[in-house]
Amino acid sequence: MAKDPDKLGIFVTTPQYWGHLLKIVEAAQRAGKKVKIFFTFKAVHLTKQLEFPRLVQMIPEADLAICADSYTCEGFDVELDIPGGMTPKQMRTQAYHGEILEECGKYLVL
Amino acid sequence: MKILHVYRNEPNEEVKKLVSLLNEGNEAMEFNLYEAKEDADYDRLIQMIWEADKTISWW
Amino acid sequence: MSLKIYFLIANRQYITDGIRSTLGQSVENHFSHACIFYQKMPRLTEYVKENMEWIRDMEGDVFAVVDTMDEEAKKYNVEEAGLTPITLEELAQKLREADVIIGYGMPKQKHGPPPACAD
Repeated sequence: MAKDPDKLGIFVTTPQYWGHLLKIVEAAQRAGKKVKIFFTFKAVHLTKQLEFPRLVQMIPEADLAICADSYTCEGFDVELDIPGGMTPKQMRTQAYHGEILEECGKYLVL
Repeated sequence: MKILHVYRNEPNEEVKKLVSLLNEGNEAMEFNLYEAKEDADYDRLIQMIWEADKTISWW
Repeated sequence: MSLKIYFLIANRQYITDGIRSTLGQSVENHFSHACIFYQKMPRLTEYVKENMEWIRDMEGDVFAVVDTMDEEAKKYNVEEAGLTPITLEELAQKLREADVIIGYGMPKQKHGPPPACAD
């Protein structure tokens, strides 16, 4: 698949930078760019932020996912506790990070 | 190649050394994410990401 | 196209998952590498050992950046845990050829782990 030059992939590896993440997504969209985001490991705790459903709504379903294994490892229930605003299709594996690398012309790690 | 270094925290000695070795023969830009506050800061980051050929985000 | 990917891991709590995430890209047919800075590896479970073997089978590697480590961590990581030693300068040369460089997780902590999370 050819890379989309107007798409920023964001690999979120820690919950530390939530405020920056929201601001970066807003800035990208102001500039007319798309984003594709994957939350892994302890970053899945961000799904419990009050503003997380707002982030989910800002992004097409196919362009936001969390690592289901990380979610389970952090103690959450992958079937009974789908994070606010998300669908079961957005509970993914590390292969989704591979999709980001393949598909996005730009890439940022948080 | 134009490289953008994004610092999530103030860079330590090891990061500085890697950055300087990576920059040899390349054009480099830097963005201190840990100092970003206003929307305009993030607009500038997005602009720099699209200006760069490669973005490296350091711990 | 297979990419040369380097995960840089500075915080001890992120090592095991950083290696898992590295493997995640090995199985996507990329040349995927984990580079451990500063820290002594957490307890080597079968799971971690298998992940490291699998990364190497897929033509990646797991490195210990030895000149960022104290003597104890260096000795344990290389001799017991079987990490491949590399200097910061050698790593920089590899990173110059990399397609993707990932600063994984958080910076190193000033204090070592308390018993509750030392394993």
